[in-house]
Amino acid sequence: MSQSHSGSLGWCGTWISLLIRFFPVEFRRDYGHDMLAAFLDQRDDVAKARTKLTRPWAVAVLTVTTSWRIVRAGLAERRSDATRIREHRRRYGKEPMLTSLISDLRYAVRVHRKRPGLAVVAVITLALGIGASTAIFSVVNGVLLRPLPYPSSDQLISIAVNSGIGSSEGFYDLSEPEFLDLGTQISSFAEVAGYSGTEVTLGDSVAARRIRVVRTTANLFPLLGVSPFLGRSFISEEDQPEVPRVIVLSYGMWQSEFGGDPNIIGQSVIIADRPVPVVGVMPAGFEFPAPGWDAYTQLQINRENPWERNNHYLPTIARLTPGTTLEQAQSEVNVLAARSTADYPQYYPNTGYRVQLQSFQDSIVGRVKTPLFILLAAVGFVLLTACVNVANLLLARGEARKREIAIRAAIGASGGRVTRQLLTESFMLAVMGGVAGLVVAVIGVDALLAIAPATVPRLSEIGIDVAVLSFSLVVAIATGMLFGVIPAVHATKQDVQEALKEGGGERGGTQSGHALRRTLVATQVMLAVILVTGSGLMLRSVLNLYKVDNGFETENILTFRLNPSSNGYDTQEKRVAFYDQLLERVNALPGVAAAGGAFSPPLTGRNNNWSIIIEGRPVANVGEAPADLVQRVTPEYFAALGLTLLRGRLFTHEDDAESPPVTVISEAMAQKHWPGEEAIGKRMKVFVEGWPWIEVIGIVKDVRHRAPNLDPRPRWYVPHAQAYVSAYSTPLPMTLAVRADADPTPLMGPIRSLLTEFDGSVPISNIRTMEQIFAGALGGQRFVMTLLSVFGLLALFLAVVGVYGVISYAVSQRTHEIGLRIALGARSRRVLVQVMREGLVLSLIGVVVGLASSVGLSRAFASLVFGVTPTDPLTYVAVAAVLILAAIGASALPARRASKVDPTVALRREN
Amino acid sequence: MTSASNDLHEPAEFLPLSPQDFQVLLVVFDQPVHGYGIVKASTDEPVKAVLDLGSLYRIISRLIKKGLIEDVTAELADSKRQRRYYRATEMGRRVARAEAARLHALLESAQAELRWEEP
Repeated sequence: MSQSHSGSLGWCGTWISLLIRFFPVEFRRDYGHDMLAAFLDQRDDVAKARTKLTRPWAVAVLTVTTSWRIVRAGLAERRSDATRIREHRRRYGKEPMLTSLISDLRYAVRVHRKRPGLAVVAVITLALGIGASTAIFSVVNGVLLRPLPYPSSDQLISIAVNSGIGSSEGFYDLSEPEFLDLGTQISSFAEVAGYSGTEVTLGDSVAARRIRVVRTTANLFPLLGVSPFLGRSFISEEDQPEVPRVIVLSYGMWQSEFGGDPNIIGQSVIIADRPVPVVGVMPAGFEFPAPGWDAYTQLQINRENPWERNNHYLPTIARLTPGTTLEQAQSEVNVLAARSTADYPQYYPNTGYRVQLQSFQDSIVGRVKTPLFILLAAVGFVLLTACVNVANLLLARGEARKREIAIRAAIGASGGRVTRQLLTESFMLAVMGGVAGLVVAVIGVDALLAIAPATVPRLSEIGIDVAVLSFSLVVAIATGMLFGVIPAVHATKQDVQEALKEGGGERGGTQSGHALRRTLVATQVMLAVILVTGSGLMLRSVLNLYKVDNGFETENILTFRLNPSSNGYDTQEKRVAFYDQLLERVNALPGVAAAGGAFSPPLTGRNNNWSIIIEGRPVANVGEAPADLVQRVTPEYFAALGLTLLRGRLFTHEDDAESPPVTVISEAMAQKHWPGEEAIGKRMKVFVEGWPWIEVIGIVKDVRHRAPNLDPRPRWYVPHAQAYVSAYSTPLPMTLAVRADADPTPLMGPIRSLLTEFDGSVPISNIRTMEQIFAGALGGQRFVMTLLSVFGLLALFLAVVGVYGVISYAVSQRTHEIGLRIALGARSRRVLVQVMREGLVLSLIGVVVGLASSVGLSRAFASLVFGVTPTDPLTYVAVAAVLILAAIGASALPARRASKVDPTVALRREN
Repeated sequence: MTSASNDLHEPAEFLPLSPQDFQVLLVVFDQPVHGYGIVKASTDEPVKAVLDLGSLYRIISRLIKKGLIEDVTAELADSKRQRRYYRATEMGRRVARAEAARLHALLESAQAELRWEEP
């Protein structure tokens, strides 16, 4: 600008050009330039007329006066500019959406800043609601919703079968011939892979440890669509019997055991005393079939000569050919199953051979679906309660702001415009609640992961991702709608004239507003009832699970698993001797009350189900033979775990390979095979030809072997020292249970050194107390119970706040009336009772509706409760009592205030 | 800086003019004058209100929006300081005449005479 002027701008020109900025931008664009030019002309004229001495002074005076005038004119122009725009809008219709949104937002900020208390309470309430929902949703998302980390994972299905032998309930793993049939005869399957988990000893005799290895067919990795991170996976030539084993490491094992050595391929590791070459390393995050598996090796099924059809040990996964549905595959498989039933009737009696196809994801997460959805629903109720609370707060404030809204309506704001303004305020609260809720969610997810039972699958995949963020965004918007719409619509419905006439003050409340608030509070009570009922049912279930007679004890018992190498203990006699001698020395340790061993102790998931023959009841084939769970134990096992002998005797050290075969059976086993008879003295044997008869010598109480909430199944016990002559074999790996006089954990040290002395090459694994095992078995129920209790308490608290709020508001509205009554002689006790009755009626309605809804929803709980029905009357009565007491408590305070109303004050205030 | 089209307006619609608007309109009545020229013209005679730069441009802006004066810089070849020159439009001249007539009539009115008698 300055270059084109005859004189330079000079300090005063620069100064004036800055001041011109006081004019609105458009005005400046049109005239700013010219204005400055005129000023410079004037300055030059002033300067010309003066002597050199007075010139600066004259210029300064001109600059100062012009400055003042320019600022004044600039501001005046701005004002008239603004007026003109407003005028234009008033005449020519609505404000532009964005401008009105911005002004709404600015107004909302002012409103919230004027009453920060309400905003803070609302945001905290919403943050808890949204945060808790987001945290639970992130679990649901990670576990149930997010697809498995394999390409086209929806094509992966898991296969299970029921052969008709024994129970027709449930499906289990495949036998080798069944697996081979499915792989070769079903066109719906692109690939079928079998795998089987096992534990092996890694390393030499100095530093042996147990690792978990998946034995799998060679096509598993291509089927899943995952390539090794390093090296290769097996090829089908290696997946043949008698071919030397190779191993593919998991990423975790490669890191922890080999320090991520990039040259690991081609090196050998010692597994079960043999060197096995490492051919590959799987990528990080590859966790098949579940987290915690260390390595993969060939399954090596003998395809020409597979094992028997009734040996079901092979979990099977398949990938559907593209475009095939699960239903199409199922019908194709059903045809095969029917043919197999016809071809092998001896293997498939009763209901025949049935094959169940299930999406692989469902097979992993299916059992946690119900509890997770219950928790999601519960947290949804908490969120609803929070919304209702905030809606109530806003309604109450709406009453106080009635005058303001009426004035706005009176000067021309349309109903829609006022609603939009109020909704903007609600949305602002919702968004702030949502942001704060995300913080709560991040903390909440950490807390959830800390208390989540390890039995929940895919825990490592839980986190805050895009889906979770969008969820909380949607939830925040939905809550904004939910708690904002009712008060906003209500506010615009009121009669403007009435509102202005009433004068806003103490008596500003409308009847309809109060009725709405009471409805909302009753809703809150109802939601709280449902949640508290749910947590009450879970609480009782968990208590029952602790009280239930498991048939064994858990206190002061330490368990650990021993896996001697089969090279060192290659004969049955050596196995027997190892455990006999070891246990003798463990039992001699000070502080040990009893120490015994079992192949599959309770709650550890191991089971052997064998076909048997009862003496005097011949069967034609294995399909007709009964099958029962067997347990091979050392004599002290019963004492170590505290099993109760009902009749007969337990095993002694005399019951060995030389003495007549004996068995101890469970009550349920006696009931199953010899109902109404004395089972002791009866005989049975394993189904296979050539094994001796076994005499029943004792009956023990049933043991809940699978889980505390599952009914015990029949079970028979065989002496460890005798098993190889009466029941196929004496197992080499055993779990020892050591019962101590006090805390058993300090015993681990002496036991370790004793074992090292005895045979240092035997690895110890799975060291846990029985209490830990028991707690782990209850983990799922306790998790659900803890969360439901937290949610229930939260909802209860919010309901109490709601009842308190609405009653104390009602009291404040009726101060005048109450004062009048007291002045006319009403006793304060009567007033107290009357106010409390209002709170009581309100919550009674909520309680009744809530209990009815609970009954309706109780079916969802059927699989989670234990020892109570989902409609347990005691729980329902207790919940009703708790809620009513809480409501009485919440209305007591305002009621007291009402009864203490001073009539003179109350009446004066109204006039 | 667009002038409003005022073909459809009557001069009377713009009356009365504010004294300053009238003054500026008179200065640019029949010749193009630049901003400082208008200020200077206001200081020529003691009876006229003295315009300052700030107010002047608000007046110019207002008169241009009403279509009473226009920017005629483009018609002139004066490049000195790139001043802008303003001149009354046809409507501006008609409005100025109408205002002059109105003021004249006002001075001759009975009420005005009453005022003269006051000290």
